[in-house]
Amino acid sequence: MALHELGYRCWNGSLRSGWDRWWVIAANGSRLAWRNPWLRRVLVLAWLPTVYLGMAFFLYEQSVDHSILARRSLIFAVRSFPESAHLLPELKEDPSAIRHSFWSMLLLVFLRYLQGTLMVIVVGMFAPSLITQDLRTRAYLLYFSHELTSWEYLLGKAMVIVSYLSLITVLPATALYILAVMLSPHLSVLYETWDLLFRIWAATLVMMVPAASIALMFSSMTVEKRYAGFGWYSLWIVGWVAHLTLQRVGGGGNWWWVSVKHTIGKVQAWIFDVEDLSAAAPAMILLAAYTLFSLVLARARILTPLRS
Amino acid sequence: MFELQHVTKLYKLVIGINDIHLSLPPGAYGLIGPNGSGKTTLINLLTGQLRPTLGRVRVFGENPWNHSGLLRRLGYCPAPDPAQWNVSALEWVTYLLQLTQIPRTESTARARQALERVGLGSSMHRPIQTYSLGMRQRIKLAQALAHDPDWLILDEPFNGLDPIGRREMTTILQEWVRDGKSLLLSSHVLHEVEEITPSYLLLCGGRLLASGTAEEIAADLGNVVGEVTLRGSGMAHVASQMVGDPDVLSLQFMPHRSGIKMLVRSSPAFRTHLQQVLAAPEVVLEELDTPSQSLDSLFSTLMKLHRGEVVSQESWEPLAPGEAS
Amino acid sequence: MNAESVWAVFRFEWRRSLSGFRIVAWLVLALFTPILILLVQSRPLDPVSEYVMGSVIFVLVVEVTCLLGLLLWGAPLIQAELESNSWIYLAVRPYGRVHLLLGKYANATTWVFLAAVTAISITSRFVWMVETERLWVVIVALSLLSSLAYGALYVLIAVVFPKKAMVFAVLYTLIFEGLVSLVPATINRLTIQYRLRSLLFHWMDWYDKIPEDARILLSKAPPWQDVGILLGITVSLLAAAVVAIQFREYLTGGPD
Repeated sequence: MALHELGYRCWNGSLRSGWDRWWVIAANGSRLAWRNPWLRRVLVLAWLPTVYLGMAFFLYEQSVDHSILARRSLIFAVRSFPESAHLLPELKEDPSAIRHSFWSMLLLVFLRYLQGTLMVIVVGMFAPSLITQDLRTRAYLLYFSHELTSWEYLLGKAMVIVSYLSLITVLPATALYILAVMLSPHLSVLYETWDLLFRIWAATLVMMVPAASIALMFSSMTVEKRYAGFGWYSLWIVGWVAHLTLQRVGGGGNWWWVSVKHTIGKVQAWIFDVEDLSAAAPAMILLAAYTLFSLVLARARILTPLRS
Repeated sequence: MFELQHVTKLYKLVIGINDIHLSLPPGAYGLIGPNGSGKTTLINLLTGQLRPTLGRVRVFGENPWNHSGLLRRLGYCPAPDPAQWNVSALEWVTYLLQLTQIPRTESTARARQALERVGLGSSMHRPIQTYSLGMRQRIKLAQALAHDPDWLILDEPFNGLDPIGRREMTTILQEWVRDGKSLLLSSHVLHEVEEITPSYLLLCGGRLLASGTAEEIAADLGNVVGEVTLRGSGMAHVASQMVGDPDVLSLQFMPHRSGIKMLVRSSPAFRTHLQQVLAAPEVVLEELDTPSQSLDSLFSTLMKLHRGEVVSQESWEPLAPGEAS
Repeated sequence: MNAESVWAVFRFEWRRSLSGFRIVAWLVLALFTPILILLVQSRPLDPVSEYVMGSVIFVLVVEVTCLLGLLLWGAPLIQAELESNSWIYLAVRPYGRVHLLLGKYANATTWVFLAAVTAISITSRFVWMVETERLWVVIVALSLLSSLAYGALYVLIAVVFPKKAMVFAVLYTLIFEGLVSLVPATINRLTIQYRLRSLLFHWMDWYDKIPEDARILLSKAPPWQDVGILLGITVSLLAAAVVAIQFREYLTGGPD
């Protein structure tokens, strides 16, 4: 009878290089999150604003061709957008003259208000358990018994958030831009608007990086995911309400810093040329500080049980 | 008593338990099966936490689903540990007793008594989160027996216990059974179950493989073919003598005639015959491997039968003399 | 059912709630409104009418503080037990599920109500308003109604969607209590916010001071009717939660 060696055996095959170790964590985390049917449903629903904005692009290009009905419909559709106020007079006169500004405004509204809000819901559905679960089940001991640094671990976890956020931000925004080009009279608009594609990517990065860092920080703070979820939602809700209150009864003024959402919006507005760099610079510094603080805290939380 | 009539429980497309039909009068039973065999599902059906997809469950003659009155008569010790709690064992067991609708002062006295019974008298005031795994198992047992139920249902109570803890747990359960109380004990640790009760329910893949005492199951397995392996010299003589035995269903030489393998029906007549043949002077036996009567072995045989690795007698015809290969 | 068992759950949960995280969360909730109002008043203000300031305090205490508190204490009612593996120990007790639900509901509303009372008590010490005592009484009453009604709503969400209760509670609050309650149509009368808002304006006698076109967002019914509807909503939602928790299967592990 043959005896089979079932003990530890060295790996004789070739080893992959270590630079993409985070990828394994990211791929596994994404697969696990994808099992949640509610997340899949919300991801589909998160594309609804894209349809609305797609209609706005369609109406805009139709109004360029002097369709009065399209122009009126467009004004009706976009007049509630805060950034559209200064564009409305020109939209009535000669829409073709403000294509770049108008497209920028639509994309900013899409990313700042619509997808910015959906981002909070989507991330709250899966991110609280990303590190919490590892701490709870002590799976981090398995992770760190391999050749894996804490930064690689954090990068892998962050990429799970980034991948899902990409599905509701960068992907639909890029699709909107392509749709707008397709709906325009000729391809020469590419020359006029090519930079918007890069602005989209920059604006989504400004959303995703701080959001992923903050979500990971909350996830690492506790072993109970409901506390992490509560922290995540509270941060956005409290900030938003505080901003609204201070803006309404606090005599106006620059209260963007009390809300992470508005801080992100401030930088996005600069990316789409709606704000000056001088106005957005403090917001950029604050976002960088949030990101750095969150990541350092998350890393410290992960390493604490290993040290003890 | 517990009664399951052709009970099936489906979790969407996963089968928890499959067409189980059994009746358990008061007594002590070991519920044995590998992981995923449906033990916890069966217990959850009996405690009214799950509804059967098909069939009927009766506990003390009544449907346990949503029947709070029945729960007072059951003491349940689940497998999962209640973790991360900043309360003491005494507070927790008292709390659970109060939920069993026992007045507060009496609850505290009973909780104290139960914790002392499981050996936690000196540490009952410490927070649960500071307890070892073994101590948590004891608290779980204490909360199950504190309200003095008629039936005690334990799901993997030996998990995490050290040998001394296991011994103590076994003693407590033996006393429980000796007091005439009923017990359903789910476990992987077969020999510890054997020490507490001689009656078993063997589950695998959601099906009830067998039920009864080890002797009853062994008798039932008389119809099942087992393998006997012999090694040594004089094996040709053994083969020539055994090939005509009506209980030998097949016989095969090992390389160089160093041994033989026989598929047999393990009857008393076969065993007597084999003993006589092996007593012959030309036979020097080096190794004999036969199916044993231990619970472990019975379970192993049943599992093989379930997987189709061995077959029952009906599929085989005895060998005619001279047919050995 | 047994009141003593509900009381036992309440006491036990109260004891468990005295953890570091929850006390910090409670302090944040209780101090959020006073800090914000202090910030507002520290700036040179345009003249703000009394009812605008009162409405802001109402939103901060009765809506934000109560809702966030209930999101922490009420929405994870089942999830917390499932996560800490304690569900099965409670569910196998006579009427254990119902006692657990009612005891935890009482615990959640008490913590949240106390946070709201603390918030308005501190705020009313320094807020510039003519009728601060009256505002205090009204906000305390509304906080009680808000805690009870939203607590019952979140508890029902927790029972129906045990693992995603917090997400659904946030979604429901944003969509219905945030957006739909401000739609000038019949649909806004179905929201809890509509009733609470109406009560504020009636009890503070601000109904006649607000612009006529904004009155469509308020109930014309006498206050007792709004209170009755709110209590009715609370009892109905709680009853629905009690029925749902009794007839739902909660999986505590794999299908072993």
